[in-house]
Amino acid sequence: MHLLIIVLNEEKFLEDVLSVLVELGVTGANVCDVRSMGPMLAYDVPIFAGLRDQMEGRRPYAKMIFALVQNDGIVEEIVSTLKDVELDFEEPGTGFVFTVSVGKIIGKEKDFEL
Amino acid sequence: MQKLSDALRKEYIALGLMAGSKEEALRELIRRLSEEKVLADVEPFFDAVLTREKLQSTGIGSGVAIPHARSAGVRRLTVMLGRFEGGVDFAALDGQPVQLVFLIAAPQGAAGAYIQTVAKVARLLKSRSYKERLLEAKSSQEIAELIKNFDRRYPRDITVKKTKDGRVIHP
Repeated sequence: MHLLIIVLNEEKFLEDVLSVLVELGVTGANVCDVRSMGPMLAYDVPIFAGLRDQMEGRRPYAKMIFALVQNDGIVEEIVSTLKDVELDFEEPGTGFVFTVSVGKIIGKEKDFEL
Repeated sequence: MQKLSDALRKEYIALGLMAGSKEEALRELIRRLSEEKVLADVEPFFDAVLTREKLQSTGIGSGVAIPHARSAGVRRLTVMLGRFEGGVDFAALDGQPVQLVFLIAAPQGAAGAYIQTVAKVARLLKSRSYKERLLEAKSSQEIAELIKNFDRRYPRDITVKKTKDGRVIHP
């Protein structure tokens, strides 16, 4: 079992990411708003205010999607399928997709039905 | 994961249709599903599709609608594509008439495959290139080939190797 984590810098693609996860059989994901470190340092930590010039055009908020998955091969499937809707994680600044191994799990998402 | 071309075969593609309303369009596609022996019982499925439409129109905009429902009267997961040349008022999200209607019919017990198929059709229609080709195709055969082409592209087959200690390696 693995924990799938997707950090998505552009919120407009969230619908596509969730839809692709459903297509790939991942129906128990959670989504949260996260703040990127760079803008946070630049605007919240005075000593790093010098970074502000580099933050222009960068979005201060990102979406983080996480879900338990059986097989971490899903990372490649997600990335290749999302290219079809013009979201390319290999482009700098798009975000990240990765998995980490999970040890013990207690609890289960309730399945939902369309 | 089921391929879209398994559910949307050449015989489930109807071109040159006309309909005066959403209900009429759905009736026509459901009649065709029934003719193809996909439906054991027509009315419960029609009611289920209309109930879903009342929740929110499946006309997702840009001339496309994906009505869908599960029903005990459905024998196998099937997608029926109707191309309505004059467009149909589907109460779409963008208010525009709909030309491409993908009606998804699923048996009651096919919850997982059903939701995956809805997502797959939605992704197909996100592609402007595929949508244009669906609108311009001259025959059912051409569209069936297009769907097979879509299936071949994504997701790709993945080769995963496992080491003796259980680590997973991707090429």
